[in-house]
Amino acid sequence: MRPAALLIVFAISLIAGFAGTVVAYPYLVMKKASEKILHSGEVSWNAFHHGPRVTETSRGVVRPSPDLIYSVCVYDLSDGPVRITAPAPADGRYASISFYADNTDNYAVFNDRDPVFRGGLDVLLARKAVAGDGLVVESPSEKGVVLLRRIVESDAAFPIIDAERRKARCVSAP
Amino acid sequence: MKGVAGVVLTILAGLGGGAGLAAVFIAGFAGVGGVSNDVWRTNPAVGAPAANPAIRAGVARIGLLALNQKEAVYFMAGSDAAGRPLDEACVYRLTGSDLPARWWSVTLYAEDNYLARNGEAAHAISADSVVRNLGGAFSAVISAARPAGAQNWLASKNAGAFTLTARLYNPDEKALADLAGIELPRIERVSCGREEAS
Repeated sequence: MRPAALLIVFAISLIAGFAGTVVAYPYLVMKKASEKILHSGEVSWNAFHHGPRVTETSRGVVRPSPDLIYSVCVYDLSDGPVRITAPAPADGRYASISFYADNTDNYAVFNDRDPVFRGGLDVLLARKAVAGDGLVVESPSEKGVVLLRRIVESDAAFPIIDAERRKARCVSAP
Repeated sequence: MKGVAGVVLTILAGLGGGAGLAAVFIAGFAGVGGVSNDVWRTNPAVGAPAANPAIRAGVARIGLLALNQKEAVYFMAGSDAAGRPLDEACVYRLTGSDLPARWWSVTLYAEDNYLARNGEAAHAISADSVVRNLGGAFSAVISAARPAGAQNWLASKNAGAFTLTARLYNPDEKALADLAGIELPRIERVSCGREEAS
């Protein structure tokens, strides 16, 4: 092959390598993060894992906030929808539930002041909404992550908030 | 046969080179398209459904599982008001007022992007924990050793070249509309090395 032709092959490969890596990177990051969560305790798909309080020994996710506690559900909708429920925070402080697709996109979020969260959140997470299912959040991907955040304003408040967030559920709802 | 091997090698070199360039591009994303506010910086792309694969890749690196701006704005600072990199060998004064949000915090992160291992449990100040003066303003000391008499302290021991993150949960609409104009805490160097804090 002529040098000029080889140069063109190289340029095309370079672009393909660049584009392929950029496109694949978020999926790899999310896959790795999900595996880390699933291996961090006795937790399976479609179940909340209630993370411990953030301390200086926490090394799960970079730049964690010591004032927040996180509960996370790694979901898989291949066998049908998943129901997410969570009580509204009794302390009236900020709380949110956010939904992330397998490419890291944050495609939905509700906080405690949203009408659907005020009396407790109850959503069906599905690939496609069906009439009569109540509040449905459509996931753009089969797999993803749901993250519940609560503020812990003091050590004394932690046991109460911890007990409350443990009432949150992420369960298969075929 | 030799020609085929040459083509295969060329393709492999191209793919590898492209992947390497992508890694550099993704690593450099934090400084692209952000908003500056004095020494603080934020990136509005973090937490939002990505506009394109390049933005998504960058966000996956610096803001995985972050919230969108309506929910939370994250500002980061790595230098003092004079532009010098933050250093655990120095003492700083952090001054400001309540940030324009439903809840806020300022957290100190060590060079490795985790909380510094120093046993002090003084990694952050927040709307809940900060002690304010009668006018509502606050002043915090950032230092390796616990300062005598300081009401607000962020411990920088074992943090190396540290950074600060300001979190604004449910930011005010006015603040969201003008991220560059929000009044964020000022970081002033007081002393360095063996000098005494004034």
